[in-house]
Amino acid sequence: MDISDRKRLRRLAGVVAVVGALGLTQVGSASSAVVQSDEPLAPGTVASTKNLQLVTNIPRQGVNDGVFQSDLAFAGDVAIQGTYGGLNFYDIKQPQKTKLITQFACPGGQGDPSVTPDGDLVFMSVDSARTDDSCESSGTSTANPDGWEGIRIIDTSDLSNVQQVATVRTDCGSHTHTLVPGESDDVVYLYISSYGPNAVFPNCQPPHDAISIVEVPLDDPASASVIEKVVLFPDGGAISRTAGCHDITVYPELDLAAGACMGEGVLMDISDPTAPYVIDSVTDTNFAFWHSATFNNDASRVIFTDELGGGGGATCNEAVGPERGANAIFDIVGEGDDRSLEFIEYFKIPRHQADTENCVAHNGSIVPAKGRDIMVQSWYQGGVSILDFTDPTNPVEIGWFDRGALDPPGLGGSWSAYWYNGYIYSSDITKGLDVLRLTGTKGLPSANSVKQSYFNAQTQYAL
Amino acid sequence: MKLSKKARSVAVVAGLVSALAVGAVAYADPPPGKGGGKPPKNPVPTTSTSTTAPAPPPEFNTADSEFVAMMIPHHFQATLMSQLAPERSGDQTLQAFADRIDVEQTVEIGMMQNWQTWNDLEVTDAEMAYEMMLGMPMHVEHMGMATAAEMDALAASSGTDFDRMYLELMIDHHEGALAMIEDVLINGSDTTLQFWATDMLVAQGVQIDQMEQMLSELG
Repeated sequence: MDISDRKRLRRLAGVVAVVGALGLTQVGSASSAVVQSDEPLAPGTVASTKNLQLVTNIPRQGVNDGVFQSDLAFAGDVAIQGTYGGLNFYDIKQPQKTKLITQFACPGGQGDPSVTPDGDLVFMSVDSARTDDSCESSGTSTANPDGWEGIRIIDTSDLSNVQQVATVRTDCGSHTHTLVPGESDDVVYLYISSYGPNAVFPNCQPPHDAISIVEVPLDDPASASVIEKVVLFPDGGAISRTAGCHDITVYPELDLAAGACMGEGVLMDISDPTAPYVIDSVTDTNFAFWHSATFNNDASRVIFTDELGGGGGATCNEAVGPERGANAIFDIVGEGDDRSLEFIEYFKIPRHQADTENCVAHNGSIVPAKGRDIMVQSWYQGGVSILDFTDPTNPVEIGWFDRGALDPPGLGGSWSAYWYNGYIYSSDITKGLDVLRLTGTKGLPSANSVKQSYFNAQTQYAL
Repeated sequence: MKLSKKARSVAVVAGLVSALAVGAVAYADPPPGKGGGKPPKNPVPTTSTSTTAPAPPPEFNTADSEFVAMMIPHHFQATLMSQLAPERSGDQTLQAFADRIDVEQTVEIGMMQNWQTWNDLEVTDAEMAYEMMLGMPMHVEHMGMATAAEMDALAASSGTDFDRMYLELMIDHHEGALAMIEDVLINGSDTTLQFWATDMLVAQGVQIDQMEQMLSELG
């Protein structure tokens, strides 16, 4: 800590403490300071509520240093981190001693990963045009008809010899994708979410009201291909044009999916995984950019997020307010094809962030505490937040971990924060991987007793 | 390459005059990748065929820096138009829509200014650049912006007249933005900006449809 940091801390210490109704105290390197919730943390400081402790951090490094770290998936004792430049694999057998096992250099943002239940295959989304589909490719223009973007299929059965085994080109690339189990164990499907069609983009022509479905035969992944392009919005959607989806979360046990599709949130039936169809859709005047969906543990409720500003904007402040760049909680009511989404309430972190901190609702997952609806969620430079929405009319933040603004200023913060076997893993765009431990929360013992053998955040099961 | 403050402001004016060529402000040598992390003491094995790190993600080029420098004042006009709505429109839907645009484009102005900071570029003063552009009718038209006279007329209108004029002007404004966005998506090279531009493309495209619908409902 340099002198200027000390000065900042002293100034913060002078601020009147308004820690909130829950009486949370802050710990971490800024433990001497108590910060009121509408005062951003000072650059260089780290703070959290007492119930959410940083266990360890593995800095960004090696071949994936200097590139953004993005989403996460888990298989056994391995955490898989996507980056704009490839993948990182961490040994999380002892979470407090998490270590990097290997890296796979294969560029193409944003690198959204998913993993098969046995951990032998990883799929990675590429949504920026490359000169070809190889790991040695370089960036090219969206207008290049020979440019490639889509899905990489990577053999991870031997982590000492990670290999790309196939690629599948998909319309408009693959911004994200969702692993959907097949009717049998020897096939999985990938729902490819991509958007932004335009007449001048040869590989992304309008209309693009569809998702591509990639079929991956697990005994022959190299033969994976697009088997369907399902038009979700034959009439163009609730507004006159949707332009694809950003992300889809499936809940296979109920044959249900929730999609964040440009301009609207949708509920889908996926009883035939190759023929999903929309059963309800909602719009919201406050929502700018429908980003993702997370079901609660029994899928009676869904949280949609609004990534106002695309993740680059400073929206966690007074000016933007509590209902924009926020979560929106919906109840799922009715039966079968009559099911519909009913808006309940917004939630946004109440901790104001600095104007240089990109902060908006982002990726999260359910903490499987029995009888409660708890979600851990990334808010970029707003940090990692624990949301209790058991009473959906009164969602409250019950814990958080946050760093002050990056200094020098830059794009950063937590991209994804997920619960996996008793710990929270947060992929930080520039800081690498944070491992966090939640304590002192009602229902946690039941959550801690849940053991998963793999986890893809967009493929939800009752835990 | 660093330019003196005076040289930079001259470059901005010159750029504006020569149709969007603000690229003169961009540095010839973009800064290296913003790594920040220390090299590991014991490098972990990598499965890439090369032992050296891959090329850093493409940094910005002139198309990127031009886009941002022009889009900031372009957005600024949208916020000014939208801020007129609460006192002049009698339509709640339109008011909510205008508020949405105001919030969204204000956030995006901040984003783009932050992007300039991250890349050691001069930060565009939104209002000043906007005033400068208004004085150049060719530019205003090229970018789908409202002229000074149209802005005055909008400010002087109310009720349904305001609603109609707001929608017509904002549709043109958004169409102008889409052309700028297409250009940066084809010619730009900054990965972050490419993702932002794609989001803007979609958001503004959807909004054009919403506005056309509102316009047709006005009869």
